[in-house]
Amino acid sequence: MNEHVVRFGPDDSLCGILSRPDTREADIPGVVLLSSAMEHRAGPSRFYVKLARALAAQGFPVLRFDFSGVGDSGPRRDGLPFERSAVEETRAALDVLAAESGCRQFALLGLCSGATISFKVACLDPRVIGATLINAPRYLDELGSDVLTTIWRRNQADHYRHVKMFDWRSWHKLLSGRSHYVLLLGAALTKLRGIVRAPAPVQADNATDAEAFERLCQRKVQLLLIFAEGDWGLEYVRVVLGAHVREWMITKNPRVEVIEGMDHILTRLESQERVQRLIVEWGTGMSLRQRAVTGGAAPPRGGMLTTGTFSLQVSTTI
Amino acid sequence: MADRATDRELQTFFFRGSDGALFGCVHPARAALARGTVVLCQPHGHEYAKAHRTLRQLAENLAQAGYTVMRFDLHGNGDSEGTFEEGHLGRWLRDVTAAVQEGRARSSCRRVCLVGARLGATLAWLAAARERIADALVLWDPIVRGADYLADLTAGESSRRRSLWTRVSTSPGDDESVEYIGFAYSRQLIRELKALDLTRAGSPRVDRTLLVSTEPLAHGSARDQLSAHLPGFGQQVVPVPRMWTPDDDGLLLAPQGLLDSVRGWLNEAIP
Repeated sequence: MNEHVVRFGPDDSLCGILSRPDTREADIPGVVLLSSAMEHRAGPSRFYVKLARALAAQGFPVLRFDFSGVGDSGPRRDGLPFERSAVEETRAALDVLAAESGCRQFALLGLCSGATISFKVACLDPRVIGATLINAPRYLDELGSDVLTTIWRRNQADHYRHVKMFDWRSWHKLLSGRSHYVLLLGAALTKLRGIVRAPAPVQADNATDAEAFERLCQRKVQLLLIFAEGDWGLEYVRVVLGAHVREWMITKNPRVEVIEGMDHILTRLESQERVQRLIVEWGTGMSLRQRAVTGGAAPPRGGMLTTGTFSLQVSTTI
Repeated sequence: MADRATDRELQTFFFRGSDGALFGCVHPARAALARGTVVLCQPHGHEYAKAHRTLRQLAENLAQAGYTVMRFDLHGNGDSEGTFEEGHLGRWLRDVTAAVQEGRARSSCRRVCLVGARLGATLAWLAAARERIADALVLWDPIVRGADYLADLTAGESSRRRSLWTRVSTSPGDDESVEYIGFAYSRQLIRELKALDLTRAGSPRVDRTLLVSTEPLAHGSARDQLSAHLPGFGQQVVPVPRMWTPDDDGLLLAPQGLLDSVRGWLNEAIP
């Protein structure tokens, strides 16, 4: 294992673990893993540890760290709210990864609010050439309560339809007077409206988020959006960015993947393994594209796999 | 909240365990001479993340009280080397011994208290029963009977799978391992847990012990039976929100009552 502890940020109060590849390749991007707000840097079910070591085995230097006040990182003294401090600390993580590994370009990966932070930093920092966003609940915009309520209701209605209806415990609660009948009625009405007429768009266009995605794509930043089926974030994208997603299906960037049998925090091992393979494949492809742009050295290892319109070099040792 | 000096002096490092590198943290005592060395044995698997915030806060509180406190990750847990599937009780017991040696080496004080939570408490007990490695022992919600714990894990795993949109098998096992709440338990670990019963294990070789239970101790319950086996036994029930099952959020805020209980008891046990 080729890992060591790094301390950085104000008074070296931020704590991270750097996973180094055994051999350093020129022009390969560094990767920073961002946890969700209160989560330890190891990630849910230790997913970030496994992912960091898998990426390092493919030649990527990887840094995972705790945001201030979380895990082993100390608290901030300046009272900066999380939405801003997390962005600052992520950019500091890029700086320390650059200093430790010599990388000049980076990919970010985040889960839940970590995905939101990844997106924000990608928008701000030109060194970021790629981002993987897992179950991102939102991007830049703060939406109004009416939009959020509608998204929540649709998500709840689908949850009842896909999960609760098939669970005898839910029926037992319903028949024994222990269900939340107001919620149930709301979910049923939401679904009924959807069946009787096509749902009206909640908002014709979320200009800020759509523009941000557009700018990132113009900068050739590679984006991979991964959602668990039924995730709130997937409903958000459908409702708020729906028209743009149809464009993405043509341009292949951002790439959107929906994983069956996965929950919000990647509990199942099979989900973790699938997402890990997806990220390593995508990261290797991103690195190849970057090398083609910069005229860098040939890809490091592995056989050829053709998927869709891409030909990727991937390792068979995942 | 820890003060600036404590944050700056928090030592974070990898050290040599018996089977690879283990991640460790030391909170130096906020005193010229440490009153004692505390080694925190953290929970494993999905309970690790749930307890991390509280155990860090406990470490900082105890450092403020004058103890040098060491936290560490078991093999295959947290940032330590290896995979979770490689973990089993025998290996983890060696990790506890290695952590005590490392903690002693980094502290000016030879007196040691092991503070364990959940499986960490169980391992602390078993390690202290093998040899005299500590003077005092704090057991927070120890896993007393492994069979009961496996039943809880099975229920937790089933609950998780039922909440998914796609129906998945509720028999998450193969020849090598069984999946429980995001972690692959090896068949060896499962055999060891099935055989685990602290009420029939040797007594830990310590002077004093404290059992901290976050649920009322039912008369005749496994945890209630421990008192007969614990030297210098003290017991406290500290009601805090439920925290160990996958859907509990009880540890988002550190339970101050529990931290104060442990600190108060340690002040008496290791003056």
